[in-house]
Amino acid sequence: MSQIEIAGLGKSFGGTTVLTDLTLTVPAGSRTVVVGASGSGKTTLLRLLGGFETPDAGSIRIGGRIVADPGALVPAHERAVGYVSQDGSLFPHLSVGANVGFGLSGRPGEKSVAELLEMVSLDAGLATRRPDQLSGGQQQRVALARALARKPLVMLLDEPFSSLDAGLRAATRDAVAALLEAEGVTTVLVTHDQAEALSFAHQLAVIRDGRLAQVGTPRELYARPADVRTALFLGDAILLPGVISGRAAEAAAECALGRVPIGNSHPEGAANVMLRPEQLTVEVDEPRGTGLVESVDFFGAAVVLGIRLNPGSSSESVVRVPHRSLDNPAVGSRVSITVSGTAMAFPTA
Amino acid sequence: MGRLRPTRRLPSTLLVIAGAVSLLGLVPLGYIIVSVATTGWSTLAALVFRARVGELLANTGLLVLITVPASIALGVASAWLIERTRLPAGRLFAVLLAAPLAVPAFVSSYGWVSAVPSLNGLWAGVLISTLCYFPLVYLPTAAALKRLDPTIEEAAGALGLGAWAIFFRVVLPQLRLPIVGGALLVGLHQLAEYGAFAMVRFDTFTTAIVQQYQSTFNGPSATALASVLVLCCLVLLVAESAGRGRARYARIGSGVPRAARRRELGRWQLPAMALVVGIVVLALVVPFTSVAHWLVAGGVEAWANDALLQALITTIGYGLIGAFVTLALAFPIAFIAVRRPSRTSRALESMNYLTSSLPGIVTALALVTVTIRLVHPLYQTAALVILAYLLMFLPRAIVNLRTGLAQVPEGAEEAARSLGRSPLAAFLTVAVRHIAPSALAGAALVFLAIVTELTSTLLLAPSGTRTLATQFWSRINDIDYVGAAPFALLMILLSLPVTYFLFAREPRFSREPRGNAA
Repeated sequence: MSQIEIAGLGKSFGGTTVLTDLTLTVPAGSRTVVVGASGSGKTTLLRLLGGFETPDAGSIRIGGRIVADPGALVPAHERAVGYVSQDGSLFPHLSVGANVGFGLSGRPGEKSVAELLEMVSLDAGLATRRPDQLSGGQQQRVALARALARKPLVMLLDEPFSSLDAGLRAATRDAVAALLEAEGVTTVLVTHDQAEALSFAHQLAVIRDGRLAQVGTPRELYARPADVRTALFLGDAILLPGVISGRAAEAAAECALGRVPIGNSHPEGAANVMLRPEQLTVEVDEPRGTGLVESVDFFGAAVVLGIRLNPGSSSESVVRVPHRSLDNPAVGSRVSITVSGTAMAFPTA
Repeated sequence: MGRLRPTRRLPSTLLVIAGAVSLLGLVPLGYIIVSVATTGWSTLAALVFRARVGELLANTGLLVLITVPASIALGVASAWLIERTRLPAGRLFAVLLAAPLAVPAFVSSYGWVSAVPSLNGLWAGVLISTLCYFPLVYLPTAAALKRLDPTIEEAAGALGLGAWAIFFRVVLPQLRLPIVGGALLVGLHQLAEYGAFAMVRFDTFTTAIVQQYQSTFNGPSATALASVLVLCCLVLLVAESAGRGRARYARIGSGVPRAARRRELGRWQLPAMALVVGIVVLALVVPFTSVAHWLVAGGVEAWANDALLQALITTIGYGLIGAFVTLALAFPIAFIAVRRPSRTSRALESMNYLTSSLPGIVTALALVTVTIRLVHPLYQTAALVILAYLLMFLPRAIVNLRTGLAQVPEGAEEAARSLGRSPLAAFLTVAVRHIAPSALAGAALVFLAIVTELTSTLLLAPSGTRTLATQFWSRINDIDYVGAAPFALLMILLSLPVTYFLFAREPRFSREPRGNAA
């Protein structure tokens, strides 16, 4: 069953088109992440879902009921939708407890506030503190507890972890994901951080210039991106010119790394061949190796090798490959590279 | 879940109120345009092109041309001394240099004339109005100096500039906006002031219009003078917008700027002290001493006067009602300007700024004429006086409300909406708290202006209505300086706490914000 159905959604502000013909469904109880660069329209999408903006075209249904149409909407306070913004937007004039109980009707009991704080792994004793006495991570948790208090059908998260420092970010993200899953709340999170998107999402939607570029599971999108821009947006990629031959299961690309099977269908002829760096395994192979190590950048647990492939030949090119071992190749050594899995072939630009 | 309902672009009541208030604001200018158009060119030419008008134009022009640069010099010099040097007792002087704003110019003038009875003419006008109005340059310049990023000055130093060169080539250009803005206000006050100049027998357009009005009521000749005065006013407005220029002075760096290092004055300490002490003596001590002198001369009997209490109550009443009405009617305009900025909202806002820059005498003349001809029941009512205050002082409330509205965290308001509050309830629970201090400041400014307003109150107040300012003025006209003193004192006592409240809102005097515990 789909909890959220977005159909043909369009929105522009004063002549600038922000969203165009956007269609997306979110299954009940799942987590969907909308990922895009800044200015791609992802926050506008979230604000439309929250009821803070009216669409110019298309419609939004939540729980099967239509909540927004061009020129008409169910206002924010009448939607069963929770919203957590980038900075938490706690009410600075209220205590933590009063913030959490804000959306509850009547005077919320101490017990229910304590339960809500416990739900987001905060000490009930924080209830009497003021928001400015909390750390950024605690503030985000309070904002989440405040939004959960009303038992919303849908939770909207606008880059909720981006203001936290790196260590806290992953921990908070995992805790929030577990909590929302346990509560069965359908969640839409928007972010520009691809790592966060890949790890949080059941369903990942890449948004670009106000349009959905691709929707699918994180694994699908990472391994089989629809185009080069999506590929590069979701992670590092190695791009090599190549020539495609063969059809269906036999299809393969001839490129600087030799003959590599391709995983998508592409007409025979010239193409842009994409591989993820982790598909490449580097081995020292003196003196027959076709690659020449030109640089070794040290990053602690791993190094990144700059390797010139087939020097002197027509297919000469440079790739950067991460490499983990106790015995790193030195600059100037000859290496050979093996490829696992399939490559993706994209039209040449 | 709620029902689907059509979205409204803007709460229409707000738009209607904002539009109506702004249209009302067009009455004074409209009155001038209509009367010029209906008077006919030959009559108008005969009224305008005569020696008397030339004389008034020369007087008013010279006054503005001398007072404005003098106010800029005093204002910028004192702002720099207060903000950037280790002037002894700097905090005390910071307050004292703003204090002249609490003393109405006509009271200051009364003080000076009492002290030096021979004062009269242009130089008397220049002296008194410079001392009264230089804080209009001092305050914004000091505030801007506080915000200037000191690293820019350090960079200039590293590029080989000396202290004076840094001030003139780096600091002064960045102070352009507050200086030009303050100078405009000084100029507009010169055009509008009546009491202070009448006291030293210096004729400007405004004093001439009041005299004309008092002798021939509202003849075409008063209107002709008023139209020339409006032209002068427009010239100042155009000069100001040209003076602002197109350059941007926004800070480019990120983060919060450090506070600037204060300079040791060294051998300049004595002259610097002499300057600020001199300003304080001339602007405050002289008028206060005169008032005190007359108070002592009058003794207790001067206070045994029913008119005093009555005038105090009437003045406070006008001040409170005027401040409340102005604030309430400014809200829709400020709200639309901040939340729904558009060409319409900007037009509405600037219409009100234009009206309030017209001298009070023009607004009063227009309201007298329009009510007599069109809405006679309104003539000589308290409501008309409040309307005049509204038109004259509306921007003071708008500017402050705007600032307050702009500080409301919209995220918190949206959070309240997603937690089940209607837009109105969300605004009331979350936003009002952020707006309240600015709204109070706006109301205080309007109150301050009303309790010391003389010119249009003289023209518009219903007969028998006595305010502190009009009572003071009628005593002065009877050469009863002793009887005037208690009224002067009460006006100052009403203004001082309000002025201090406004001054204390400056960041320097507020507590340090609490940091995050994280």
